Amino acid sequence: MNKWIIVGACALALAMPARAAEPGNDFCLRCHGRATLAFRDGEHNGRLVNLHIDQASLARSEHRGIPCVQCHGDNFASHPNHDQVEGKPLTCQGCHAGQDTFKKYRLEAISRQFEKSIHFQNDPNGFDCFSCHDPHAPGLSGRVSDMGARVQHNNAMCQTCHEPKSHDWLPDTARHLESVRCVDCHVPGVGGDTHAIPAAKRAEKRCESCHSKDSHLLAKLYRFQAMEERRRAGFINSVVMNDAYVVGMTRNAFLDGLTVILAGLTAAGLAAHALGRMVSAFRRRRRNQGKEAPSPPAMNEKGHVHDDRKGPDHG
Amino acid sequence: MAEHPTHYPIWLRGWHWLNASLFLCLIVTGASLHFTRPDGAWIDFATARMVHNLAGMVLAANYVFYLAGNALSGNWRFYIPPRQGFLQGLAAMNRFYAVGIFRGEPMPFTPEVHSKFNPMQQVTYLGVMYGVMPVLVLSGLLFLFPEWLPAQFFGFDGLTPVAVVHYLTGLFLTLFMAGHIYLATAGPTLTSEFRKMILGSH
Repeated sequence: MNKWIIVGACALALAMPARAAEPGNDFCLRCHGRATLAFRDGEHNGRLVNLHIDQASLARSEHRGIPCVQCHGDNFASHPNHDQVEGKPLTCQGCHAGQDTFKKYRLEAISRQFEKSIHFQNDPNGFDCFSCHDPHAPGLSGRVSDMGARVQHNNAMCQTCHEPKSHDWLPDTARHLESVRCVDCHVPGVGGDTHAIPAAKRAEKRCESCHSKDSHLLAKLYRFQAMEERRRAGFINSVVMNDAYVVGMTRNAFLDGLTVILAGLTAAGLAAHALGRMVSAFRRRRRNQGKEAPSPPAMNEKGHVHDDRKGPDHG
Repeated sequence: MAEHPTHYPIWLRGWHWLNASLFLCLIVTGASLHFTRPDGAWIDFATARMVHNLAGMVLAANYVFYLAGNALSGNWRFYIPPRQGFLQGLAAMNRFYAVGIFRGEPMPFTPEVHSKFNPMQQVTYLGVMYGVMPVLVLSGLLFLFPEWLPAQFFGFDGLTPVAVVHYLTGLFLTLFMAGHIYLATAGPTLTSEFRKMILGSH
């Protein structure tokens, strides 16, 4: 019922004389710029669909120069058709497939990964790129230095539907949630396929997967930084590379090497000292035994034996 | 060799051996946490973390107990090097450990009523207990409560300098402990120093 009122209003607005055939963005944003604009999708459990477009975000997004009707133009008069634009499916691939500048984003591979995810498996019609990625807002690529902002941006996507619960088993849960992306744990392994999100029970729970020298984070959250560091310096030094201290992962090769050398030198030094003491004590005992070849004790006229060998004890 | 009856009171011996046990525990778990491997060799991370934190907190409490005990009993006086003859005494101890001990010479120092530590013990124990230990304990506490630290420190995570300090002091104290245990065998007999710390006298 509600959607027909909105549609009717749109149609009425369109029927006004002196209107251009294709409305400009201002026209759309008169309604869609309102924070409360939404509708209940009866076809999907009555879930609330947010129709609000934040104009400040739109002005910063990668799609800011594109007229609304270019993507949402088909059947505009009745209801914006989400599934089709200019005959092509309204997905990232639908517009960007075959474009050379977009090859590096591997949209085809991501699309295949997404189809393996539990989101798609559970609701193939209800889930698409835009369930998580808002094309009206700026995206954040992995090639950024502000990891905190990137983590926050990524996690906000998940938190539009999911509330992080059952994470209390983590030591310092809050610090974990603000330091790594949901997908860094919920997509186990090092493949970097962060779109193939499996069921929650398959999430990584082993501390060592991240808290170790060959941390999985180097292939995920820090993948770009790791590649850059290796390209520049020939090796990865986590202390210099990233701005987050991660126990077991953030190591300095020089300090670690120094530890091994000092420990080895100490052990060797003490062993040599002990050996020296043992050998010198043994030799001293042999020498003393040789020197003190016992002469028979003298006997005095009373027949008593006086033994001079027993001297004062040396401490 | 007169042994003052209060040289090794029961509280001091209790503190010493608890410290020793905690140190062993912390060294093993600390190394396990730092040198973790993805296949989880050594002790598993979650267990090592829990044990290290617990032992660290007990160590901190034990250290406070030691400071209080030292202050109240006057034991702290033994750590203060004498004003005169200290450097000569230290040189004599160094000569003994480097040369004299191999010749079977007696140690150039015997414990007295007013001083139970030889000059080398004085300087190392003073440095360790009043210099390095507070840094270790404090850096460990900051690990437990990272929210007390600034988020960033010259471009690094606020925890990074704390981690480096904790690691280096831990390393130093590990090496100290090895030397300490070894030199305990350099007393009048191999076991006399150990018996002193267990029984209070030998």
